[in-house]
Amino acid sequence: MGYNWNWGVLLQPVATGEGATYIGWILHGLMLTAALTFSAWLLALLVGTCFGILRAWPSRLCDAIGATYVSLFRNVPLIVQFFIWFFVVPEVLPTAIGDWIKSITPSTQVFVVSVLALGFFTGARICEQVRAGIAALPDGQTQAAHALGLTLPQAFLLVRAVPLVMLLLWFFLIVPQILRTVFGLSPSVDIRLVSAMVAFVLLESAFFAEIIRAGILGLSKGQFHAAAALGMGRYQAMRYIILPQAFRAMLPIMMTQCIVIFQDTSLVYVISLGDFFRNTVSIGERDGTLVPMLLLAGAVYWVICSGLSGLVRALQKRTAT
Amino acid sequence: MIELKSVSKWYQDFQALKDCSVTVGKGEVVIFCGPSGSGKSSLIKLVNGLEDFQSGDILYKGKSIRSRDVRLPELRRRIGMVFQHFELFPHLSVLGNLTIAQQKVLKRDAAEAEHKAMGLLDRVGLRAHAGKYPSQLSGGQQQRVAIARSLSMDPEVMLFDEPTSALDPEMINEVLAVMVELAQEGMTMLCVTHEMGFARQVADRVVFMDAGSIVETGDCAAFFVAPRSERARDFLGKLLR
Repeated sequence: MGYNWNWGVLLQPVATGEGATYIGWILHGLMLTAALTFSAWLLALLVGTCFGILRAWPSRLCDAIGATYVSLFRNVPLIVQFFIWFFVVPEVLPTAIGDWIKSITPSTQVFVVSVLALGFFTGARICEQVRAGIAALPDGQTQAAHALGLTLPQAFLLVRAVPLVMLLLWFFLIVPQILRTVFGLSPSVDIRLVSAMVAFVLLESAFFAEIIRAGILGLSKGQFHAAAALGMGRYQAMRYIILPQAFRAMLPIMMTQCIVIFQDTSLVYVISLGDFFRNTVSIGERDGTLVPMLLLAGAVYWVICSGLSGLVRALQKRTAT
Repeated sequence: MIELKSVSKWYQDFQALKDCSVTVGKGEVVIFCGPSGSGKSSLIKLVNGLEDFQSGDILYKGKSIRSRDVRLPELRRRIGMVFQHFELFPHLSVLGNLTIAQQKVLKRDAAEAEHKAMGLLDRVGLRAHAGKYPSQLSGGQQQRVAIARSLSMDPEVMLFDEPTSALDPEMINEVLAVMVELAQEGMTMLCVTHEMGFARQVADRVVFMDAGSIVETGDCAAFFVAPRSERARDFLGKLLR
C-alpha cells in the first residue's frame, strides 16, 4: 500500500529532551490509564451499590431517587459528562470552591474530573446490576440460561475488547480507506458515517447481550421470603442474606464493567489528558503515522482486555458451581 | 391459636382468595389440599405476612396481625416456615444456615446457637453434614436442614408449603418422617401437601380448596372416606389413580 510504517520512532528519544524515549512516554500514559481505571472503578462500585440498593428498596421515593440517578448518568454520553465535570461544575459551585478547584494543577484537576465522570457514569450501570442482582439471585436460573444457549458470541467479545473511541477512529479512518482501495471507489463517496454507525451498533449490541443475560439470570423471591420467615427485618435480610449472594453472583459482571471502564478511559482524549491512547495518537499525528499507532494502541487494548475477559470467564466458572 | 376470618385477596382484578375462614387450635395439624392454583399456598403465607390480603382479618393468639403494634419480624420469628424449594442460604454452610437467624434475630451468642443447631441436626439425622454447603446435599437432606433451621428459632407454629413436591420420590419419606415426629410432639402445623398418607397419619383436619375458596373443612378420617363435595371426590379420585 506504500505506507510509511515507521515503528522505529518508538525507540527514539523524545524531542523535548530529558533522555526519555517515545516508548517510555507511551508506557507512562499506560500507567495513568491504569490509575484512572482503578479509581473510577472503586468510585463506581460505591456509588452504584448505594443507588442499586435504593432501587431495590420497597419505597417509591427511594426507587425514584435511584431511577433518576441511573437515567441521568446512563443516558448522557460519557464524553458530554467529561465536559460537564470539567467546564461546568467548577463554575456552578460556590466561587470559593470553584476558585480552589481552578488553583489545582491542571493535570490533577483533569485526573479528578476523569475519575468523577467515569465513576458516576459506570456507577449508573453498576446500580442497575446491583438492583438486578438483588431482584434475581440465580441458581437453577443460571443453568436455565445456559440451557437457552446464552453465551456471548466470540465476535461480541472481540468488539467489546476494543475501546469505543478507537473503534470509531478505525471505522472513520481505516475502513473507508480499505473499502476505497478494494472497491476502487471515488473519494467523493462518503462512507464514513455508515462505518461509524456500524461501529456503534456493534458495540451497543455487545452490551445488550450482557444486560439481557443478567436479566434472565434471576427472579426468585424465595430467599427474601426465607429470611423474612426467620424473623429478619429488611436490613438484616439485605445485610446477611441478599447482598452476600448478590455480590458473589455479580462479581464476574463487575469485573466486566472494570474492563469497560478501562476502555472508556480512552475518551479522556478529548480533554487533553495524556493517557495511553492520546500519547500514542500524538506520536502518530506528529509523524503522520496515525494508522500504525492506532493499530498499536488497538492491539495493546485488545491484549489487556481479552486477558481480563479470560479472567472473568474463569471467575464465572468458579462461581457457577 | 390462628384464626382466619373471611379473608379475601386480589391480584389486580383476579380474586385469588374468596372469603376464607379457618381456625387452627394449639397443637392441631391441619392439611390444606386442592388442585394447583386453588390458593392454598397463598393462604398459609398470609399467616406470617409473606402475602397480604385486602379484606377480612387474621388473628394470631387472639390479636389481629394487622394491628399497629404487631411487628412482622417479631411475628415471623415465632412462626416457622418451610418452603417448597427449601430456600437454604447457598452462601452459608449447613451450620451457618441454622445459626445466622439465632444470632442476628434472637441475639443468642455463637456457642449457644451452635449447640442448639447441632442438637437439631442430630434430630434430623444430619449432624455429620454440618460443615457442608447446601449445594452438596440431596434435596431430601436440604429440606431436613430447612426444617431444622425453622426449629432453631423455637417456633410456636410451623407452616409447610408443599415441602415434598420438589423432591424425588425416594426422598419424600425421610422428610415426612421428620414432620410426623414433629406432629406427634404436639407442634401446631399448617401443611400444604398432597401426601395423603401423611395426612391420614397425623392430620386433625383437612381443608379442601378450589379456585380460591374453601370448599370443605372436615375431620380427617371422614374426609378421606366420604368427602361431601363433588370437587373433593373428583380430586381424591385423581390422586389415587
